[in-house]
Amino acid sequence: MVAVSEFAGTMATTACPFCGTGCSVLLEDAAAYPLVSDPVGRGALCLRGWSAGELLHSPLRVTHTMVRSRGDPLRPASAEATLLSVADRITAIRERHGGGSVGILASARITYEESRLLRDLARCIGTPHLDSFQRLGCGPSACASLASIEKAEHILVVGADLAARHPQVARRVLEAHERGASVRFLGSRCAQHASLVGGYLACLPGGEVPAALASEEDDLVLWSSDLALHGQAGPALRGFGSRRAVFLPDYVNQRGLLDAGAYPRPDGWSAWEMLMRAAAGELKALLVFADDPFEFFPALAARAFAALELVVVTDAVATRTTHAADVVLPGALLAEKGGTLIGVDGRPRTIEPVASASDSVGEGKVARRLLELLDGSCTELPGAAAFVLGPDGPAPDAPTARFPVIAALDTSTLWNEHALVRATVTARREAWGFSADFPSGFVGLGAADAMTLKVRTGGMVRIESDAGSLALPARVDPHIQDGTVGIPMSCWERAGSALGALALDPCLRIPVFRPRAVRVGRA
Amino acid sequence: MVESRWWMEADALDRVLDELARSQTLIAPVRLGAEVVFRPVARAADVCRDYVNALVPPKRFFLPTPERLLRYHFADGQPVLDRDEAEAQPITLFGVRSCDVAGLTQLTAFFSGETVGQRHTADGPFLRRRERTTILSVVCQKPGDTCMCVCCGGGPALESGFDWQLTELAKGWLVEVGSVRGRELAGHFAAELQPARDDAVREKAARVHTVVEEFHRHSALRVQTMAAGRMVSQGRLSPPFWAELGERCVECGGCAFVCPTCSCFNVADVPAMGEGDVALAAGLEPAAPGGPTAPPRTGAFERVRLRDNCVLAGFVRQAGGVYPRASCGERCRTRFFHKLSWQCVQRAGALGCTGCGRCTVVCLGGIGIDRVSAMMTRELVAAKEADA
Amino acid sequence: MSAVAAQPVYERPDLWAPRLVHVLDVREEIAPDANTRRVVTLSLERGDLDYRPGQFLQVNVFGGGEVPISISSPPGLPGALYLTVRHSGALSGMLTGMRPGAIVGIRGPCGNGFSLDEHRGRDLLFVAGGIGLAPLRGLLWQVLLERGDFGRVTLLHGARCPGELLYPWQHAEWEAQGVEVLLSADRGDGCWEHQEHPPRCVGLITALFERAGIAPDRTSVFLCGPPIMIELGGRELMQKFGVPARRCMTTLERHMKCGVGKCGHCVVVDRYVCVDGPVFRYDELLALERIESPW
Repeated sequence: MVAVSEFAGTMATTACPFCGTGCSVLLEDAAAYPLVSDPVGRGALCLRGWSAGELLHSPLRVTHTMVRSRGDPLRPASAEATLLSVADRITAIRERHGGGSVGILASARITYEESRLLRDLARCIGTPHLDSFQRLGCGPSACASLASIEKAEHILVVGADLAARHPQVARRVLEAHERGASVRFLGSRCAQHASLVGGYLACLPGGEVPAALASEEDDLVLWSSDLALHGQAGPALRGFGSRRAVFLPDYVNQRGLLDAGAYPRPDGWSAWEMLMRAAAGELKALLVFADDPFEFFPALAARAFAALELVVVTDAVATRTTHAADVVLPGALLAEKGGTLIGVDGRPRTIEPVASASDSVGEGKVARRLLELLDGSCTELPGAAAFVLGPDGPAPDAPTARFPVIAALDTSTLWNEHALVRATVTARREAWGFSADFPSGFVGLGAADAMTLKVRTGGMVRIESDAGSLALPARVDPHIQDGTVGIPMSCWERAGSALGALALDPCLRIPVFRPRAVRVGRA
Repeated sequence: MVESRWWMEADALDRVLDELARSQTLIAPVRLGAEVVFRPVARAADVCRDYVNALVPPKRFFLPTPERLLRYHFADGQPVLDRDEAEAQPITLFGVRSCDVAGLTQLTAFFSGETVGQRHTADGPFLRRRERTTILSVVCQKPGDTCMCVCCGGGPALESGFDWQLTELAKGWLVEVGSVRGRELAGHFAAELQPARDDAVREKAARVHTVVEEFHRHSALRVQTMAAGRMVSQGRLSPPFWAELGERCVECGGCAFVCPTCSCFNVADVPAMGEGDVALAAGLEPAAPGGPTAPPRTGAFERVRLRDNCVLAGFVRQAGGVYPRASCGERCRTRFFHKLSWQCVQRAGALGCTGCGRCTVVCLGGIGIDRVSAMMTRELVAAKEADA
Repeated sequence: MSAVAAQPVYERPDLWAPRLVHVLDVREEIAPDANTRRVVTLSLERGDLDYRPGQFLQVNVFGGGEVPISISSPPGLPGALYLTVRHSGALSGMLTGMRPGAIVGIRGPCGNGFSLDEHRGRDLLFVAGGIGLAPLRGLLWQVLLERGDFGRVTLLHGARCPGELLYPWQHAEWEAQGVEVLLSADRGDGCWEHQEHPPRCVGLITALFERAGIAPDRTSVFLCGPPIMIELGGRELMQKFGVPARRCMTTLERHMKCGVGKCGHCVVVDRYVCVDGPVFRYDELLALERIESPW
């Protein structure tokens, strides 16, 4: 974990690899620092940014190529020989089943240039299936910039808890409030900073967009993937499209994914659909680049990987996804790469490699080499399309007499199981508290509801919808609105399946947790 | 205590720095893009002269993060400690400001075990780095936007804690020697130094006075040490006061990471790079990323200490999910108690805040010590008015 | 004395290097079930380690990290150290899984420990809730090695259920050396509460205070257990039974990473539990309560 010789290391600027706000970090050996001159960070970082240096020498770095034959454990192998073998196997699968039997999972953790290469790779293989699980809610949107926050007079923050996921934005919003701008938080969960502005405008999960649109006076709307994850991407994109709105991307190059064309074509499957089709035997090979489908959909990913003939994962850090792969190639961290990233403002920024902790091959090099090896049969697919928004997603449930509570994702838990967070010590410990305290998941309960149910943190509750039920330990959370329960994102799949909430939103073609009417009782 | 005062011509400093850069490692402020950072330099010409301070704190030369404490591996299923004989090379730290020197003095007392009256708990790694370092501090003559050393006794000039304290005067430098090592260094560079005349000493005093005046007249920020000290020391701030701070704090960790007097750390036994195992054993969480959940029989591990912060929830979490300070507000109380209370002044020998102003720059919640001490002052005033 | 700051010479024992010792024996004290976690007593090679009752060791579970564990054997017992460990987290889980012959590391002894001298000639009342008996046992055992120096010795031990009472196999031995043992369990198991000896009741441990017959002017109390028990039990002893706060000794437990007053994790107000404690006088804790609840 520690640099070998004192003062030999360089100190240089790179991008923070975590969220999409776009801060820079100054990296010296394994320690990260903010930059006063960074217009985004302005001398500050969140805990994830401060922990970025711990990634370089993490015990979970993927340090060499590994391969396995079915049933055996992964064994070290040579990168070049492995890439040759992978190219051969892709060619064979393509010949037998067609280009559409291969899927590619791209990543918001890699550079714009690398995402372009993956798009080229998809074309070369002849597959329309290219997407990412990290395309959580990012849609094509005209948007204002971070600087707009500094000038706005009436700010509406819709759905997002900035403290948990975009603390740099929280800082600007609080400063706006200090200088006299009106700031309102609207959502189904009490944002952490709401008390500082006099409270929040409460609505039910899934009801944020109509409530926000009803309020006319805002000159700036801040929103994030929470709305999309409730299934409201369509209404949000259409509704906020005509206003000055800033979509806050969750991952560092989430916007870059879209700009690079790493999204599903009209005839292609989205990330979740790829796994479903893989589990059904229709997808035969999956190439994963710095993505971790096991993070949010472990059961589906397990079924899919078991059915796939070939899974090739390139990543800088080990995850459950690398653990289940047939081939693992060492990816590179952003600090080890040069390239372009597109942050919240839509403006590209360039990074240079500032470290080389591992003999990583890197996602870009893997993609390039595979392109070279497969180049003989590169085809241009007809009608390369811009991302087309589909029809609106499923509507959220309203409470009923029988099911008076609404269960929805608590998106403040987004980072808890993230591959990069898990590879650090410091950020991991703060996220890990939840996993260590609640190893089998939990459900967030509002304070008054907990009192009515006579449930304390740790007590088991049963949540039941008209589709099914599950029992989880409760975590009493004063930020959860009474009349709702918050499902942590680590339980997205399990709770979503049990309660009949798991659905595909055809608008952005991302999986969502449709807010469900449930009843809650002591188990 | 300043033991002697010397005068040095302007170009003499360059010669001194050049020689120090040649004979050992010279660390000085340099420009890195638009930032100023303390980094090794090869020549005096590389040293940045026009700066207030670096955001990246120089305490990292004494408390690097991560820092390895121990290494071990398994042989035949049993642990074997690995010897680690890295000799700390001598370094000179030039250009460091009084706020950081004052912080270093406190850190040194703390890591030598003096603060808790337990000298047998002296921390070798820190003290080795401290002892190998020569401190040539430079008195500030222009406060930065967030500087508050004047409020805290942390500057702009000090009476001790340095080997040399340099003040730039109109025609050269005043060098104040504050230690045996400083005296030896002055002997080594005797050719460049003359005994300082009274007018040089007066000029320094006048310049320091000017800086203080400029601070009082133009600087917006203060650390309200008296009022805040009273409120935290006597426990007179209510739960709602702390709850508001807790609502602002996003637990980014920045304040303690940049504070000259903060030193809290986490300790983790981490498997060697790339040797971690991501597979979780039956849903158990290992203590470190990729670590084992049952006693291992193979592998190599490092015990490292990493910077930490008492406002983070995981800092106090006890096994079993018990949190003695369960709310962020209570944890903020711990932080500000350690920075401002008389009880901690009593133990440490000095105020826990040296007024460097970095916490104000790094805080995402807008609760740097200036603002928090101002809030505490308002509470004190309100309490007095309520009593009246 | 020179006016110049002389370069201090710092004492430099290696603060961080653990001593490697073998696990000699592992004894299961409480078997795990649906409601209780496993508790074992490890006996480790002692070598020439010297310590006071109430001190603890930073136990190195190689591969995992360090965990602070009180020593629950007396300094007067040569050859072995007894550490009673409950499986409450990742590291203690690894420790409770150790087998004889395994190697662990120890650093320490850490902490201030109990001082017996100020209590000689007095009656001693031990009040132990749950696993709180583990650090107190070392002290009790040492007292019994010097039995003549003390007056009445009484042990009140309570747990949530009878299965969680610690060291029941030692009760007879203690009683033979002149300790009066009284037990309590928050709830019975249908059988335990009907046994006669040692005397017992179903209820909170505070219910035993009356039966203990405390003489407040000459009794020293040693109180150890869950924070709420220390807070409420201590108050009752003071307010209802007149024990002076400065004659009530207790221990605080905090998350620790270094055990030597450096990492800051165990800080309570301005105290470091690992060097200023873990043993505190109750009046000291009452003074801290104004700033932060120490319980």
